[in-house]
Amino acid sequence: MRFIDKTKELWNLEKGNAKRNLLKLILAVPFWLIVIALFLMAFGIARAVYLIDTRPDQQIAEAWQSNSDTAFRHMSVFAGGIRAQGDTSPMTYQEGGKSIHLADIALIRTALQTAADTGSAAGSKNIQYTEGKQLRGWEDCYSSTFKATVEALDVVDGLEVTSGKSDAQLVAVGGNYKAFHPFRYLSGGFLPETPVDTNQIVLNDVLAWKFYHSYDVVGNRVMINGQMFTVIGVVEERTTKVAELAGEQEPRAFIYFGALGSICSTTAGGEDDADNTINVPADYAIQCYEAILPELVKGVGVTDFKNAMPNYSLSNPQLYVSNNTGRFGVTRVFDTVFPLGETDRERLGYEFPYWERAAQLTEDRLFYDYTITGLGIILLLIGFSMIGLKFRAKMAVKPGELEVPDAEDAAEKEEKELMLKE
Amino acid sequence: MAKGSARRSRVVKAMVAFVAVLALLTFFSNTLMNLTIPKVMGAYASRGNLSYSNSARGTITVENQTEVKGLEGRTVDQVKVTNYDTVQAGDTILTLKPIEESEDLQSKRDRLKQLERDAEYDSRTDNSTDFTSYYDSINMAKATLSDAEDTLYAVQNKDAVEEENKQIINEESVKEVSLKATVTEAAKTVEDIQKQIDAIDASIAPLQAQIDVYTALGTPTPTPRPDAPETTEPAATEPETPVPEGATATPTPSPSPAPVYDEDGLDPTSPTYEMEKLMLKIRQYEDQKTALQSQLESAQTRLDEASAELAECQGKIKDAQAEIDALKQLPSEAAAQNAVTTARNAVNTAQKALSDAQTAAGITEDKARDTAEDRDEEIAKLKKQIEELEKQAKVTEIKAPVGGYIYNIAVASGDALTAKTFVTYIIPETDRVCSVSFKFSSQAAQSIRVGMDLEITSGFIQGCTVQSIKPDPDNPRANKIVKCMVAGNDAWPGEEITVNAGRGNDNYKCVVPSSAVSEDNNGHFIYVIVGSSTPLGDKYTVKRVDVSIEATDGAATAIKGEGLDKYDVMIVVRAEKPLEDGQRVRLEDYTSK
Repeated sequence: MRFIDKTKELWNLEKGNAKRNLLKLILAVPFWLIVIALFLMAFGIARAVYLIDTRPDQQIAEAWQSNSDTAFRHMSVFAGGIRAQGDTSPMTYQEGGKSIHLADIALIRTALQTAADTGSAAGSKNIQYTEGKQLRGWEDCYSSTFKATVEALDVVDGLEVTSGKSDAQLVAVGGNYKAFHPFRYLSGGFLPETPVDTNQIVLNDVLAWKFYHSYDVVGNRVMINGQMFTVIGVVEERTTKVAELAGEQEPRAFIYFGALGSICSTTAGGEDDADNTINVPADYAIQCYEAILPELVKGVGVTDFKNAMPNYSLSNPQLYVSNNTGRFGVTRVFDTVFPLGETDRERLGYEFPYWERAAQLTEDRLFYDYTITGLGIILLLIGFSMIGLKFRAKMAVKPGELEVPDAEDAAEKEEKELMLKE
Repeated sequence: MAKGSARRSRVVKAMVAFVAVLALLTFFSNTLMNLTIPKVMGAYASRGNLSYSNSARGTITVENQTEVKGLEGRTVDQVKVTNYDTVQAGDTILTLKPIEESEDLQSKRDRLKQLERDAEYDSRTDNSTDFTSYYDSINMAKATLSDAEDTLYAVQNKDAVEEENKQIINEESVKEVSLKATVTEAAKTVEDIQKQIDAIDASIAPLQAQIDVYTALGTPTPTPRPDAPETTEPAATEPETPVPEGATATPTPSPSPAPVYDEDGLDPTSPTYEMEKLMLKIRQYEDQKTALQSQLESAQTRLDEASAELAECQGKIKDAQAEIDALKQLPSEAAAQNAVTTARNAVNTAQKALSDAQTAAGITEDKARDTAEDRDEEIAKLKKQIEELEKQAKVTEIKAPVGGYIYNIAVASGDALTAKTFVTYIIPETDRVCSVSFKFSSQAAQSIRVGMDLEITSGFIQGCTVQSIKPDPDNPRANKIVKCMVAGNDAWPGEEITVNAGRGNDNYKCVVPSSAVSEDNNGHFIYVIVGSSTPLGDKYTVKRVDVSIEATDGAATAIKGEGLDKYDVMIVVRAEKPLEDGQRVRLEDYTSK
């Protein structure tokens, strides 16, 4: 019997403790909600800042604006084309308005110049700009990617021999590509806007290390499809997870767009004959065209850019136009992701270069980060609301009515009474 | 005690947490610094020799391309071609939306109608201005002026005139007296002569009565003798002997053989002697009367003349007196002068009013003429436009004027067209004439000759031959424009090509890796590392320096900028993150990677 009583006593005691603990826990929920909210917000914001920081190529407009009062907008357009032999062939012109022809660049530039002259305080673009502080107008670059085998050459006993070979992605660039893609240079520099020598090449760190186990390789020579190129710089690719998923860590080299003709087989549109080979220069298409436009009125740059595209219309875009400036903003990210499901760019099967893929992956991740941050904000609000309600309830009842006897306080009280008796 | 221990416990917990945080921060200090301060690598600028190429870029233009333009007031329905499509002459480029009566056409018609009405109304209106009132005003003012000038003249010559008039009065008064005497005398003479004549008439009357008696008595009427002596003057010598009453005239007897004549040459024996005697007497009286009448006439003439002279004289006196009286009524000279000035001003004012009115009328007339001319021009223009619009309204498509490639379609469905709207270019399929203009520095252009082929370093064309070299209009001393003809039918307008006109090398004071040079809206710039020592260690910041590029070979760039000629200037050649002016940085260990 005594055991049963003891057990019952113990049970009752533990039951009371459990109730008190549960009550304490319930009363502490707002605090924990706030803690969780702060953690989620800190995590989301920190990750978002980090992700955005890793894509400086999407924040070119702000950097280009520098200290001037005129805002700029960075726009990109991605076009299609025909690859005769898969990835190893550069895109060639595809009729039907889906491609951007090299000759279209002049049309686009004319339209952009008109927009810059009429729609902003910007002066005309001066290609041979060397001096002066006047505001520059629009700036552009274009590029096309394909894969090729790159051979590293070394001089052995006075003879130039192949010292290494690697499949690499070649980015054929034109215009002021360097201004749109802020590289970290490990040596040398990038291809000048006005070519000094068309047979110059810039390697990325992956390819340079693969060939030479060094980054100080300016002046070395490489060969692509029998055409010699001189290395003038090595750029460092980003090593983030996003960059890796986007393919930035691949071996890569940058050449002039004008060099495509000398390294690619020129059979587009021609016919191989046993006796007589007719080589017709291929009509290489632009895969990506980018521009920075002055924008006195917000949103005008987007319209100007779209209007400048020869084959672009709202009803039948055919080209994928991306508004790079501000694309990582909360509303823009949510606007891109929603409605959930397959996006236009996925459905229409555009072929994007690695930097755009990285930017899109960043958008996807930012969506989660912004969601986490948003969740944190909601929890924070709930936590504060609960505290507010608790405080209001406490103010509404008499003091001590809701007091819960604390075991520690009770023991302290007993101890005090005992001391007084003694 | 228990409460005190609880407090101690809390303090201990806080201290532990603080130490933990410190340890955590210490442990992750490097990571935190890496996150906040970007790492950069610096290098000193050096003198160097840079090999460069005389490159230039240009854009291909097709010189024999055909430009297609739109139609006024039409809207594109469908564009039937796309860029680079091949078309033949007459192929449809785009279709146009039909227009029945466009608002533009209707408004032009309404406008034309209105203008023609206005012209018709204006043609009926007499636009000439009547200046009569102005001329009248001027004439009146001139008359007033003339009067005022006369008055002034009179005032100025008042004394002389008065003296003159007084002299006239004096002279004429003297003359008047004499003339009055003359008149009185002449009147008296006339009166006397008249009395004598009356007396003669009175004398003749009884003689005639006697003759009448003789005649009644049957006395023949004597005939005058032709040879009657004329030496006798019976009237003067013979006393008047009236014919006795009752005597009758006897007829003159026929010639007798020896008549004896009296002193009057009459034959006393004649029966008509008495009658003849009477008649002779009468003749004598009448002769006297005639003589007196002659005297009377001359006296009367003298009287009239004297009277006239007297009247004239009196008139002169009166006039002179009146003039003298008038002179007294004249105003002062100042008042007269003022009156002249006022009158002259009035004339000027009137003339100016006329001039202004004529000017205003001229302007109004010119305006009316200009308006009419403008209206006529607008009418002609509207008629032409309406004609063209009506003509264009019948057109439903724009066709290719020549065959070739479609290039640069600039319109889309729904676009409104004007006559100046550019639609597209048509580029010849073959025999395309393409050219490119390059801008070279004058120094680089020295090695370029007309006819030489330039090396094409970018672009997909087969050849580029120099056609002409001329100074750049924008900077004729520094630059040359080199125009080249491009070979190959694959050249497209707008295609950008780069050519090389030889290489060169030069020594430069400040050569840096090309990676050091950045670019933004304000131009090219570099970041210079500025170091400073602090108690916590060395601190580095970056300072932006705007530069200009002198030359580049791709890997290295020769730059020029403020403060770069110093030997210890360290330039950022590589940065972990995009930098900002004044940002704190940390130096990278070059050998770490």
